Amino acid sequence: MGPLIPGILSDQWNNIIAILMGTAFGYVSESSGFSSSRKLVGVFYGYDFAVLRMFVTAAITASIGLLFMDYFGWIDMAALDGLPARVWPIIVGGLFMGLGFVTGGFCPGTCVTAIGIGKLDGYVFFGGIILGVFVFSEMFPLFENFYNSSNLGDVTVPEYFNISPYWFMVGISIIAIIAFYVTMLIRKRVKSVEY
Amino acid sequence: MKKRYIFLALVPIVLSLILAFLPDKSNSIDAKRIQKSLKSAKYTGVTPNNLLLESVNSNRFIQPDELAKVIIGQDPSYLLVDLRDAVQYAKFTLPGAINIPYEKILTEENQAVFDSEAYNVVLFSNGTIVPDQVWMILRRAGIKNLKVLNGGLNQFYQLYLNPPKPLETDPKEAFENYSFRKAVGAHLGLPNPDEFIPGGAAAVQNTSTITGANTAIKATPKVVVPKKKAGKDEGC
Repeated sequence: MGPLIPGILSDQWNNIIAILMGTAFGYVSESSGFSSSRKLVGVFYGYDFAVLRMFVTAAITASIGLLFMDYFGWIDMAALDGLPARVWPIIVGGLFMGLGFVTGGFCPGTCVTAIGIGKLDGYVFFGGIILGVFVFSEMFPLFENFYNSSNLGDVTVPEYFNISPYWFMVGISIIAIIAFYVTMLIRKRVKSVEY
Repeated sequence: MKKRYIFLALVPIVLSLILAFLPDKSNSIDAKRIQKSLKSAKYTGVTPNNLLLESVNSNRFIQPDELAKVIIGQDPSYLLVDLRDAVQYAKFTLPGAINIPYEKILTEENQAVFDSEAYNVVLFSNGTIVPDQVWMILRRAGIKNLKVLNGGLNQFYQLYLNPPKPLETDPKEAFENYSFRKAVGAHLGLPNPDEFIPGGAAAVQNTSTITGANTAIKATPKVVVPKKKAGKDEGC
């Protein structure tokens, strides 16, 4: 996390703010029912799109908020680090992540939420994550070349296509709203599931 | 559809539209994009502002007297780099200096030599123009611990071959400096300026060629391990 409100809040606050934000995120995830695998995997079967809505809303809220804070000089966007854009490795990794999501019923964040309310499958899923991390680390030399391939560096989409980040944000907001509307239509057509 | 949903859907669109139409974004990422793009190119050097400040600061020079002390004391923390071509280097150089012709400063192994935190690298040539340029290039490449020999080899030898005599009214330090410089000259094998030299310039020429042979002992740079790139990955 970058320095928030530089000059007023010192760097030591970063971790405290991060913990508060993380706690709030966990609370909201749990209160929106994200500790339930049935609700989470609903997005793959079309009977519940809460996951998509929640995460896309979080993303656009955070982006708009960051851009506003940046405008007022409250945060130094240049100090924020993103993952380097390794195109193909990220696509393959995303497929694996999705596969684990649909079979396990949790994503790495929500399994911790499930542990928070004492769900056994949450613990099992978390153990699976640790096991996967271990196996990945041990086998890393095998696919190290692929892991580092097609690296575009630390770029954002507006930077890569050289468009205004503000207009990009307008576009993303509109796409998000359209997606919400479309998912609502899908949900109406799919047979509702009781869970 | 509930009115609440329509309202909530409008909020992000309106807010992002406001963002797009906000005036004066000098404080924001568009202005910082250049900075960010430099960073994204794995750029680790100094910013232009700092480079300007450093280039006018006399700290980046090493004075001949300081360098003389380093040479006499055989200070291992200094690495002398002769930027002239190999022919001139072979004729004579400072004791312990290594040769990196200035055309070759950007090759990989030479970068590794410069980019070592174990040394203060002293750049020198006949004058100061080439070392200054090299200093600028290497500093832009993010290399620290660089010093330029003020006045270059010409002034260095001038100072010890023919140190300016202090006036009788000068303070004590001037006399100490004078005798120090004479001593350095003697150490480097230069003739004593106070003595009459039988045989004149030819003899001087001879002695300096002998010193050229004496100073041919070159300090080989230690094996420099290039720094590893720090990978920093975070996930959700």
